[in-house]
Amino acid sequence: MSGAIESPATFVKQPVRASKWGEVIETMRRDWMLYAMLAPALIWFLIFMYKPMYGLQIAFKHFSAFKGIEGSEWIGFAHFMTLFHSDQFLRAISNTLVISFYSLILAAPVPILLALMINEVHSKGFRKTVQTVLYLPHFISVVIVAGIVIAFLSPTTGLVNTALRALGLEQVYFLTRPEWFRGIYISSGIWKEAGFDSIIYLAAIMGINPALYESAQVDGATRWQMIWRITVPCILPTIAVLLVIRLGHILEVGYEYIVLLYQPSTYETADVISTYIYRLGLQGARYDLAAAAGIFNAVVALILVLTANKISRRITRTGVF
Amino acid sequence: MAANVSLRNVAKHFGAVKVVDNISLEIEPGEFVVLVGPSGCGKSTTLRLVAGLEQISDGTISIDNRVVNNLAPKDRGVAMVFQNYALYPHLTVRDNISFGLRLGRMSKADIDAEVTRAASILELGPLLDRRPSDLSGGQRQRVAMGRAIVRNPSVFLFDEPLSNLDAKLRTQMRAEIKRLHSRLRNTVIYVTHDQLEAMTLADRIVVMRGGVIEQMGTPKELFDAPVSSFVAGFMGSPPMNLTPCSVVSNGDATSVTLGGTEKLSLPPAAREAINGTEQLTFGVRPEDIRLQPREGTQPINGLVELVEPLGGESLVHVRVGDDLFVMRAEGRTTVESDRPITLHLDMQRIYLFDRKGGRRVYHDMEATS
Repeated sequence: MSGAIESPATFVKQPVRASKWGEVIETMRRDWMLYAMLAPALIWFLIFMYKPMYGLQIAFKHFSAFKGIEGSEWIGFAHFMTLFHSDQFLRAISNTLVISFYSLILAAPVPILLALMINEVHSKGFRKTVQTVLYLPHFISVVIVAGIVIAFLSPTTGLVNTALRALGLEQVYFLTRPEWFRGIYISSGIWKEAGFDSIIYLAAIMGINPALYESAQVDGATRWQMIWRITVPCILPTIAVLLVIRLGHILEVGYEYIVLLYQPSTYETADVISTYIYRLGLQGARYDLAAAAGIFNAVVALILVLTANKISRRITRTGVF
Repeated sequence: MAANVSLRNVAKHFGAVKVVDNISLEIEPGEFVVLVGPSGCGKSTTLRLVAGLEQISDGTISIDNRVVNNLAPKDRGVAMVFQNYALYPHLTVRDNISFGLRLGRMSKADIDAEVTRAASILELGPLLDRRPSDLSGGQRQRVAMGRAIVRNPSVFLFDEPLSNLDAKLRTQMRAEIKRLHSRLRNTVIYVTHDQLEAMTLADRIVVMRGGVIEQMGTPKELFDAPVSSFVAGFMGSPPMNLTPCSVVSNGDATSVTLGGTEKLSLPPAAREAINGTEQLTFGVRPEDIRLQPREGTQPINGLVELVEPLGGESLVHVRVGDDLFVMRAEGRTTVESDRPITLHLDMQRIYLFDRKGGRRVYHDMEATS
């Protein structure tokens, strides 16, 4: 009896499974051009993101270049313990959090304000000029931006110090003073990226139904009231999503720009996790310890991204994944 | 409080394009005027000029005997209901309705009283704490009307308010707007491209075409005495049958040929009216074509192309030579497609239009009065 029941079930299941795979193969055959276009990105991820993960095990080993990854001995969480007993690493975590927090608080509103202001410009020509001027810095390499900042703040020929001298004030070597570093880093970052970041807010503003403004105009709303009572609330979901995404990246302070600007005298406020890993791994050849710091950074970042995504889903009903 | 609205030689140009071209219109206090016409005829622009959302290029607009050309929309005493409702998505129904009042810094007690009054008129009470995304199309439209009502305007402006609703809801909302006007008796200027809405709602209809007023009058006047083939073809559902015809004179008798083969003798008054014009457009409403002969009818022969049963009645599409005629028949008509048929046209109710300018040259006004 049971055999009579089982056999048709097995008979039914097999063709379904076969047809699913058949469907996948058929889709790939049909859309091979799309898959071909996807391939370079996939290969890049495999080579530069997934393959190096094999090397992550050195974070738990006493790595020796002569013994190789496989031959090096396991030492468990010893490197992590070393890191957490290192003042430099704890300082790097603290600096990362402080720089990210200030960036979040100070840099996040600027693109929103820029988008709101650009939206109020009615002359097409002027608007395009303003947008071009604001977007351009994004396309300048960080190396050049760092060069501009260094030249701008130079104690001898820099514009700022020249102005200070002209005012009879004492010149300041800004890039050697730890108390100035965060301000310089954040403000130059805002100058570079705020314009470009405003595009997404501008797109959100463009999506607002123009009838809302006309209706408010008939109701007697001023431009200011329209901005605060219509524009800002309507782009609030976009602001929330982007803010949450930024929260998820709070530990990711790009090392390139900091490496170009900082020097030992400013490590106190400038050294972040990524620059610490860079110095430890590439300059100090402590690959195992750097890998441990990198893993710590990645795990915390992953937790933050997951939490941020969950918050975003709860508040705005949208998330990155 | 209702106000009169006066448009004198009003024009609106966008660059070289004349969207509204020198129109004049007087609207009485409490009157319900519908601006109707095809897309791009300038009806919505005219409404926006009255609202102050567009600046006029020329002419004068007065509301309540006060020239408002340079007044901001809020100072004109108007309230506008938009096609896509224009509800603020982040505000509740209550806050949407009271938005304008809060801008005017009215006291909370007064705002609450106004919102309650509007909600009771429009039966929005249970929806006051919901957001627009939680409402149906009809409910959203009622909220939009509520927002207009609380402003206590002298003039209500409606810009195609029902065009986003489905047919059933549109009929329902049409009745609600009519009831609302009967109750509040404010002056209403209502824009639509739907002639049915215009016919059912208006005290007076203004038909626009190419930025100018083609004709204005009561729905009955426009239906019975269209001044042009354009108005004749626009008003009525289904619209008037309009077909080019050639005039044949034979001694005292004058006839027109339809579809290349069917001849109809014109009444003596028509002969005088056309006064030798040969290029005419013949018009007859579907209601004035019958299946059985009556006094004053003349027959034409054709082939039934399509029968559209609408329940209470059926629309019969008949091919007569190159022309197509639509007539109304009983709902239970036995007429079938692809069968020959004889139509009987009520010659007392026909229309003749000059084919060049489209102006009406003949209609027996006594027959339709």
